[in-house]
Amino acid sequence: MTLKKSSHNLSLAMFRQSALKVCAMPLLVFATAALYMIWQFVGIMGIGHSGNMYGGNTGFYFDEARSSDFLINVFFIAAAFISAAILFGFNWSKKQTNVIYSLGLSKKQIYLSRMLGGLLPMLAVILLITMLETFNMGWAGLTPNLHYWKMVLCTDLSWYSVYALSFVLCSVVFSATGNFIEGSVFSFIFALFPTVLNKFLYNCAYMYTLGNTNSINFTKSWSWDEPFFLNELTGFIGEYRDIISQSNDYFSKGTSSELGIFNFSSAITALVLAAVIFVIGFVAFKKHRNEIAGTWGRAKGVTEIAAAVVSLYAFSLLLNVLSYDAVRGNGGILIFVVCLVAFLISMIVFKLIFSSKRAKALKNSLKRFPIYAAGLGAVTLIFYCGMFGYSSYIPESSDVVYVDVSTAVKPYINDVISGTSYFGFKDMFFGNNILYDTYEQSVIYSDEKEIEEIIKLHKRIVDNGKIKDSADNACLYPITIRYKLSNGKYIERWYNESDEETAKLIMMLSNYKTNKDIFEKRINGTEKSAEETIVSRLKILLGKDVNVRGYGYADTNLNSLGFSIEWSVYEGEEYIGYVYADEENQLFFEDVDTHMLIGSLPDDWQNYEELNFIYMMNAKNCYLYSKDMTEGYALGMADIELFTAIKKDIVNQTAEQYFLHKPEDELGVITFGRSKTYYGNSSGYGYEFYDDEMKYEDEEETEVKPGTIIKGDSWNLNSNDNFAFVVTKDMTNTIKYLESKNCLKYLTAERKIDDIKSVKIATISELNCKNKNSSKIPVFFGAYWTSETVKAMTEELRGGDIYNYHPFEKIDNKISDKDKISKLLDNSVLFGFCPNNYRIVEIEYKDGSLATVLVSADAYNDIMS
Amino acid sequence: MIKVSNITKKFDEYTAIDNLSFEVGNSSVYGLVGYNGAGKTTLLKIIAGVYMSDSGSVEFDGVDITEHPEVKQELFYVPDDLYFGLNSTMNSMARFYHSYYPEFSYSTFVRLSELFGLNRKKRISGFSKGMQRQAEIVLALSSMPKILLLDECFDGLDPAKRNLTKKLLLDYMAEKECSVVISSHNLHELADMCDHIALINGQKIAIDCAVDDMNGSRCKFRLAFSEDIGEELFRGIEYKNFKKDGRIITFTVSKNLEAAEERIAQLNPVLVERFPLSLEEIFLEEMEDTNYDFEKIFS
Repeated sequence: MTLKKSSHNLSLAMFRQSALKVCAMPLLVFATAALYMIWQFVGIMGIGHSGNMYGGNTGFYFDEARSSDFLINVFFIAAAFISAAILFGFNWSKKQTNVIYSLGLSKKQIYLSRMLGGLLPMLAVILLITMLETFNMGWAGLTPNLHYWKMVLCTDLSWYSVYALSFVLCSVVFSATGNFIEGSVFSFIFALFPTVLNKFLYNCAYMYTLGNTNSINFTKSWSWDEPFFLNELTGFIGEYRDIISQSNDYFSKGTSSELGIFNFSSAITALVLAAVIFVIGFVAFKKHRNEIAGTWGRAKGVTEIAAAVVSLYAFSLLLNVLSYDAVRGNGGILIFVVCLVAFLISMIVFKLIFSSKRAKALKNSLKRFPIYAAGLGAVTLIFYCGMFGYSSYIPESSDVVYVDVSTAVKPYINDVISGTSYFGFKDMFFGNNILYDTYEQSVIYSDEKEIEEIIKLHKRIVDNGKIKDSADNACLYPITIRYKLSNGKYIERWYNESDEETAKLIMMLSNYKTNKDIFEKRINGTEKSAEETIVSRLKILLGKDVNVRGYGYADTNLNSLGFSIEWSVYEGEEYIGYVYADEENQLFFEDVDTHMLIGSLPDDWQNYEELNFIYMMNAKNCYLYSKDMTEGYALGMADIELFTAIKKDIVNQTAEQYFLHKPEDELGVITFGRSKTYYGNSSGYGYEFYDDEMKYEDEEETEVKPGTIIKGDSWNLNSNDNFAFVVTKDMTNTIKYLESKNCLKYLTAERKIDDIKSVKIATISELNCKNKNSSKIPVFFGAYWTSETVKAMTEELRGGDIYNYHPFEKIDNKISDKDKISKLLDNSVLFGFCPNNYRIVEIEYKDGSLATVLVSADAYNDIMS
Repeated sequence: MIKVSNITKKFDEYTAIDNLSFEVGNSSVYGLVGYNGAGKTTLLKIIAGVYMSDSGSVEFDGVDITEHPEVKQELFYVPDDLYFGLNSTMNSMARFYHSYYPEFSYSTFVRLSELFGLNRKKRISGFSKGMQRQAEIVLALSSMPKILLLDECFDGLDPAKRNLTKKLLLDYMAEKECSVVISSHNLHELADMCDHIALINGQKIAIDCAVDDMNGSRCKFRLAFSEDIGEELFRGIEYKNFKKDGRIITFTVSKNLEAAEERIAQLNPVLVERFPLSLEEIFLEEMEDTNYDFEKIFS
């Protein structure tokens, strides 16, 4: 053996040895990339690959590197962990510390040379991959363009930032702990710190700050589907993923996309964070007590910080649980105290585990707890006091360009059998249609007067302050107000109101001209549906008639959905391919050989056909039901005069008339098409029934002879498959039409009180098992179920799970007094706003059929007193 | 020259070393003796720069090691717990130390390896404990340090290798004029090679003196008198361990031996016997008021 003359540069020697120790990691990265490139290279050589290889967004960076970004990041994190353990794990061994620290190197030199030994080889390999790929590209006859270099920079930065941040974090923690377990656990805990802090701030804001929104950088939500820490781990990795995935969209769309600084922000943030941790580690390393090597529980400083992070986690977790399930407002202090107790317990438990002297650790925890409590209290107080004016700030109307107001409305108790609605309703008033039990409505107001009105509403909400606990708080009324200011900034506030009057004011927004315009546009339904667009385009492009069948929720703006929508394309009954819409609403047709752009939909495209007023009523039988509900009258196929009459009426209806009409103003129900009854189990598996026979959903209706009396039919004001609404006295055109047909009497038929066996009465809260704080504005929809339907659904299919589907089963407030029942029903409505103190009445008829109506709180109290 | 000044080291609330100072000159072997846990290893680790002291300083030839860790290129620390890299051989460890010790001598390395009969290409993990110790000593001496810190370095060595090691160390010290600090819990191990011995007594150095000075510097007297005499007559003699058994009196004297002899003569004893104290007896006498584990030191 011969030895070269020593360089006498000890730092360089240690750097070289460090780099050699961990070179397997970067070599593995290089080998993986090189394998792909060789394959690519062989492809070019073997088949004379054309030059559009890169033009088609393939190649290592466009294709392989991005198709498995999650795995790549997991690999980089694992590589960083292993490298850090190899280079800084010597701090866990007394034997190794004896050797390393007795060498002629300062701690500063040891730290720097080991850090660089871990960081630089990976950087070198990533750059080498870039060089090789660029060479590969040149071999394919292509010149790297600006787009290519941007993509390379973004990808390389992203990869490296993930590795660097993970490596630096693990290295710093490893060099401050006494053994592998401490090092690993603490690294994991510190890696979660941003998420923990995020959760803490989010929950504090949610709990204590009036007007907080979910969109001020507090993003991740808790998922109970996964174990607690695993969820956070995936979140942690997910955040790393975001670093590179942000730029994916740009590259997947071709060279026209511009890559801005925003796309580098996550990677840069990660690198800055890595640099900060690097410096902190540097300072800490110089003061590191080597004697803790190989010991348990003697890394006091780092244990204290880890304990604080874990305890903050416990605090936030409990705050999160209580914020959703427990009281708010005047319960805030109690919740804070409970969370503090959780904090203390977590801290004690953690320190008992990770301390060598447990009694002392316990004593220290108790001694320091007041400091932590004061800190948490101070932060919470800031949130509680409105975050320095955040809660109370409302912009001047003159500064507002537009305001976007959104709220959530829940059609409630439309289905007495199915306490959980599986489908929504076609709300012609707000102009929304989403096939869920809750729908969000969002309207942008730019009219000056409307903006001023919304600001007034906003002020009222702010003046109301935080909600107070109330036993009747079954529902809170959510509203999000988002201002676009003339200076280009946005201000967004979110409220959960408990004040009934405010909720009414929110509903009154639909009186604004902006809402009316949207509504009218929906009614007129002039836009083409996506399906029509696809069919007409494919006819031109393919030269043949096709039909399409969609299986996505193509019912709203595609841009907001966040997932791809596809339609199967058939020529007759033969499947020939499919069409999908990308995030820019571009429609592409794909089959085995073809991938073509066939057109695009407007940015604000919605599936208007589904909402088209005429479409919904067209070719449907029209039925009239009085408030007696048990018996209907067939009016025949709906005609254009009826459409026109109804359209005029509902366009002119005010929100008061629509949502808050009085019982005496309500005549009855008009439906188009026969109602099917849907119900399903919790997994979503559902059945469809007609009362008399099974039918296919898309089967065209044949005309029911006008004047036929309909008995034994269920109907539902909130049905997805037919269109139904309450006729009120203000709907003069409709009434006039019905009078002309001499059938208004069917709407005003007398109620047969003798047919009623009893009624059950409950509030929303009672029907919800007293689950409070549901953030929806509840709107009641009446319905009627025949005895056959009730029997079929309760006995044959529901089995013992009846309480989940028929909430009235557990209600004891039952009345059989005919006089009182009569009064209750006289004061009932079939549709309307349903605040927390209103009563929902389930009518049980003697034949076993059921129906639901709504009674106001005042009326109920009068009658029952 | 090593100068340790006012070193204090605490582990949490436990004070391992309290305000300890000593010096080791060039071409000097300084023995640190003490029972297990007395602070020998801690002290050596502080000198080597493995541990940081809470106060005090360590200087090599007037240069503070904390401020100038580069001076440790001339220091080699052989710890009690040896460490060799995973799958390391003597050769690979030689390469390792060659990177950090500018004077590393490969020829010395080869020569010493052969002297100890160590296979340089074999994994050190396959060596016996004694062989590993020998390997470390070979590497230490090959690194040509001016300061050698040896912690229980004879543990696990057979008598032959122990003597060989001692001889090598002494030769190396003589040749390089280096300073050696060697610790052991066994005084006999160090007595024949140290020119200076310190007894560390859990925090402090209880005795710190040159071996040559100690030899013959303390005597034990046994006197016989014709009649019974009292202890008060011995005033003026700085004695210790005074014992009276009838007319027979024994005591030890460590200072002013001549004056003591004059005084004894004045008392006209029938019999005067004077014995020089052995190193062992001197340590025993010094530590008689402590709870020192004597057996371990002298075993």
